[in-house]
Amino acid sequence: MNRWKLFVALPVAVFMLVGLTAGVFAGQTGKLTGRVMDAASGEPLPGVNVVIEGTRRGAQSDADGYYLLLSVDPGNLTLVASMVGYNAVTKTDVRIQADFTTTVDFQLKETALEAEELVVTAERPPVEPDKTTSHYVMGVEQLEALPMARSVTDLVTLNPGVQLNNANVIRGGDSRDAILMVDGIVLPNNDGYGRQFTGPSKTAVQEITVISGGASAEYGNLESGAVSIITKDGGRDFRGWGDFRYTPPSQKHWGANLYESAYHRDKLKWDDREWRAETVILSDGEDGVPGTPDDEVGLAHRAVDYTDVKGSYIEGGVSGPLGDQASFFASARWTRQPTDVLNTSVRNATFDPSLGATSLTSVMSGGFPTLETPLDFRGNAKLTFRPGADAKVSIGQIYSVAEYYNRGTNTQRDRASNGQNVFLPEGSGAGGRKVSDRVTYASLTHTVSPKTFYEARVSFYTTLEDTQETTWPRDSFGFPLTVFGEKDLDGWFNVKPNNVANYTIADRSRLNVKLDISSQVTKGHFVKTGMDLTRFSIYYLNYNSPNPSQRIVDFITHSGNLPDVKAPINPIQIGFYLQDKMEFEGMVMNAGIRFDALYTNHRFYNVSQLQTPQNRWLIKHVDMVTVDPQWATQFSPRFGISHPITQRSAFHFTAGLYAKVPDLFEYFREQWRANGPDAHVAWDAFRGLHGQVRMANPYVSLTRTRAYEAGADWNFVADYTAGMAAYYKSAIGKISSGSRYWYEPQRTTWVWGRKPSTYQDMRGLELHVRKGFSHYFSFNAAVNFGWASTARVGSNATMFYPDSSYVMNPDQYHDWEWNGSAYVRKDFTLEERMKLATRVASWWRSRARAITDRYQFVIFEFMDIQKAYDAPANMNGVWQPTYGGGRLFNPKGSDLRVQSSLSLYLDTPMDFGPGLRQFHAVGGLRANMVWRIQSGRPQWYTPPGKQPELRHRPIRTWTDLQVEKTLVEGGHRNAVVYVEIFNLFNQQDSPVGGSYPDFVRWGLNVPRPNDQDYLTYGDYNELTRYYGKPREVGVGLKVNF
Amino acid sequence: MKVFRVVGLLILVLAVSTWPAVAQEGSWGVGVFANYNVPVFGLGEWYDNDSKFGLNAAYVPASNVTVELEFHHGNFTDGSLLTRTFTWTDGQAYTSPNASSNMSLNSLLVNALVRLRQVGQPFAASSFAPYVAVGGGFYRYKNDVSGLLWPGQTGDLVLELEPFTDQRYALGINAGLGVEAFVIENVAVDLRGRYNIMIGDLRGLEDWELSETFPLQMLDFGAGIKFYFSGK
Repeated sequence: MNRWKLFVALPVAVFMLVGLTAGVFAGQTGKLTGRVMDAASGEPLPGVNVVIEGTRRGAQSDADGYYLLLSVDPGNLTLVASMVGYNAVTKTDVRIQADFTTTVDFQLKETALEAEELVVTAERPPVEPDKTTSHYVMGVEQLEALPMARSVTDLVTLNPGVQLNNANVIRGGDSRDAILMVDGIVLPNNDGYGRQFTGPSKTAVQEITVISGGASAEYGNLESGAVSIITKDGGRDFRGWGDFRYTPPSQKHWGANLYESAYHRDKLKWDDREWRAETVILSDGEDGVPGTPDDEVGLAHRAVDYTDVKGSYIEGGVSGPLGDQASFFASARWTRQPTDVLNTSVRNATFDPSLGATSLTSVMSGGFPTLETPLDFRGNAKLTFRPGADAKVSIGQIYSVAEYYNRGTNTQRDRASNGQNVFLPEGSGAGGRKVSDRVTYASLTHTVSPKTFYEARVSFYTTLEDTQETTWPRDSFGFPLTVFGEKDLDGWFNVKPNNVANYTIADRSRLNVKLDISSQVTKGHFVKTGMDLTRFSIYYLNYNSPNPSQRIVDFITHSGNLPDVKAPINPIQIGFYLQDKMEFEGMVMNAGIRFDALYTNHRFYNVSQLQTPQNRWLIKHVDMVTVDPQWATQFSPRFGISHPITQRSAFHFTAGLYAKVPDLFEYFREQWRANGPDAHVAWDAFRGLHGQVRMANPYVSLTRTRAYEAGADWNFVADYTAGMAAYYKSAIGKISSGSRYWYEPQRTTWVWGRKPSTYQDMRGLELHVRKGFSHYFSFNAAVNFGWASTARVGSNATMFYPDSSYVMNPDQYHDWEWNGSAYVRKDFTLEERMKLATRVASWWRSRARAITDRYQFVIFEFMDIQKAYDAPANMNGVWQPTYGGGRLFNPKGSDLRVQSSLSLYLDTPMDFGPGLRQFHAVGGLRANMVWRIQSGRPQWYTPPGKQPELRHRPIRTWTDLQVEKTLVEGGHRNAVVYVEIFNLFNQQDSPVGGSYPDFVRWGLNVPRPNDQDYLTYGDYNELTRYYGKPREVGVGLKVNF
Repeated sequence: MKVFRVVGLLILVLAVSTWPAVAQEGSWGVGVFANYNVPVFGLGEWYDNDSKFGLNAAYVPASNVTVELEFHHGNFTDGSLLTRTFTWTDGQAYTSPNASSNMSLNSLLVNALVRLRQVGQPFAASSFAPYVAVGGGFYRYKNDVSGLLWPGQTGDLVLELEPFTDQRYALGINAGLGVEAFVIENVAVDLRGRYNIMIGDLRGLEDWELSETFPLQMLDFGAGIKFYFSGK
């Protein structure tokens, strides 16, 4: 098979294999080109070999002297140009960036004898000439120059457009609007996981690219930006590194020690012997009988010194060759840190750098009820094979595991109930959870001709959540109710936890197949097309009894797997794109189009029937009418152009439509609730439930965002570069809750539905100034101004009114009752039906009058249920959409947010400054300071006698600093000690909560002067009054070998 | 005054210990400054002009550029809150007799002085050079307010608000013009005026007609003496 047949056959085969495929991954390699000239004559030199040193990759210059190398891995490399009769020229430090074209020209001198090779250091242009997007690249040098940013997400937040405390929010919007990719593989955030898995640890990263706007057609399933992480490959030499950081004990929260809280001042009786000796029976022991000798008894008021807890952070890795054609890379990270305040609701998805080490732990809805953060391990391994100069195969795995406890009021030692839980035992009466993420992938990059290559990837990403350390036994669906805990004899402190039933079983897997084909079709056209397909397999079930009078079952389902919810759902997400990067005389245009689709792949219950009496029982959903699986599709055109203004400045403009598949839980999630134990089947989570809280909506369409951007970059002096981008984007079809009422004569019920009825308008300005590293320092400053408005359009509630003929039909209108062993149909008598039908008719009349009298200003519309919701033909009634609660329009740009960051980096050579023998006190020093500021949240305020004004709460600033000193250095081996300080200046800023009017008028951020508790105890809420936590210091040692 | 004696002695020591060589590229210098702060905009509503003092260390990396590390300490005292009134529920205007409002302001800055023109031989006696000063760094402010009567109370007007402090190590920048005139070849007199912006805020006290102040801005005018040493 010749190469062209292979070129055609391979993608077709993949296409056939997967049915359809989609492209939601970015370029992972760069393009290298240039021209080779005769130094004397200035004429182009054909036939010159340009080779990447240390590899077998190279190209030959054409008749015009041009050479081209595609699919070059990002990083620094050395290029050698040589030809018989000419001296060889070597260019070092050639920096390749993914998705960018790197141009390196050569001038060769003719020589009769073999001359010494000329070595030149290459310089990347300070302003990228082909930047058709707002595109920020952090190479390995920059990553190493930002030791203060310890995680990938922390690094991402330092880029323009990215929210400072949430790496998933780019240019406003929601936390799932952006996508995150690792080695070209999208780690989905729209399958109900509730968090974004961020992949490997920092030391495994070769390059991070943040696209804050104008993403080209190859990026799919996003509304705002994209973050692309490329991990390191092993090199030709064996390398290893290790990093150990120690966090000394200290109090890590504002205000008084929890056991000296002013709030409990008269309840804490440490001088009272009886109070100190009070005991509580924590469990009934093995015999399960209370009052027997094996009961577990503990002190009721047992304080723990949570400020005397140390923290550790360990990271390390190895890399090296495996023969001539292969290499490996592996890294791992483990951390355990003191909790700051006996439980905090840190979420991985809302990473807060000021929280420092604690925030490195991945947590969903759980917390840290113990003195230390729970297990948190993350690692990755990668094998790379290069079977030939034109092919590269990578196989890798990224793994993460974290444990945490389920939270719940009075279930664990924490600050809940105003701190009355501080004497509860460690652990949680609600049990714990273990969450693991595992991404296994393989990729092939194959250059089939000097101008064409393809990349194929297969990945399998699984996430497992399971409940552990539960206090209740469980079987498949037999769940207990919560049991109350106990208070101490004073009736104030909780001393025995509530045993709360809270079980989660979730198993998500995403099988993804991708293919990209890139070809330099002509000198001016670089065409790229791609496809990918993701098949989800998602199982999720949560049973929660937060108090003895309530049970909630939350699950994803489809027709056919009720009542047991045993089968996963398998929706399929696909995409396809085609784009052409055109380069003409310095101008670069990028035009493309992509197609995104979701196929739900399951039949659904007809939602128009929900909450009818016979369907109000969860187990009877199996009898409901179903509708076909649904497709949601969207085409998205994209366009970008970049044009040089001068040799040191360039302008770009982008416009495009961006489509994203909403969270799959919008299509599949249901929630049912019951108050009190079920009278029919005790402890049965499913069969007794007849109160639906939340319903799925199979008709949800893709969210669409129109985005426009204009920007410029300017290298104004030396290595100082400034950039600006102004953008506007408008998203429609954002999902929000809407209630659905069912007016039937026996009982009016309602369910939360999910509707694509919210829009978001955002405008903004991004500014940045950067200085490359020279004269021992560099810096990077970013400022973001964002104006946003969001509101709901369309109806937020829908009411269904059955008519009398529906009520009169026994097959449509009946109920169920428990006969002691099973549910049996309960029919209404004719007399009852007529009575109900009369009531229905009466409602119709009164409703019509109410509409006329009360809601004339609202656009009302009666919709035929068959036409509007595919209701069964014999189902009679109308839907009445109505507005309420939401606003049709908000003043545009009413909410201004400003944030800024400045990172400063200093680095001195080992022999810098005065020294004694080989030791130079200020030599080998590296310092990295990161300063951040955020405007406060917006707040409506009405000054006395004036109209309401939109104000902003006070600003927040925080500064982190790390200083490193290299102790020993020899070649690639070194040992470095460092000190890092979070919240360097101990800044104590307040979000100013509900007391904003008092703050504005009187500067009051504490209770009013006549507050009796405040007068008695002082500031009893100081602990929660401020952002973040006090200054925290860590020391560490890093070694490279 | 002990402080003045120490500073005077320091100046004397510096004057006699400096090298009599022409200080140019690679030269180091130290100086002392006395400045006058003029708060403007929101900060000007809080406080009147006041003085500050400082030290700096200078390095001359190029013949037309000096880089200096500068520290200043200053205070604003007896702010306008002492005389401001609020309108109570009875419709009358009241002052707070125990009111106190003081602000300390320290700064640690890195400045670049770019000489626009050189009159005379550089760094030689009787020469002078006007310059543009651009700098940035941290301004540490601490604004203490206490003794304010609480306008929200009923009954007798006796309750005072809890004292509060607004403080921050605020990132800030400054820019201005100055002139450096050499008295002798290694000693210069430096006169400068600058505009300072600090990314910090003071909470509003709207019942006293003080709105939230952000950013903090002020002018400063100063005179100093600098002693250069040869770095060669």
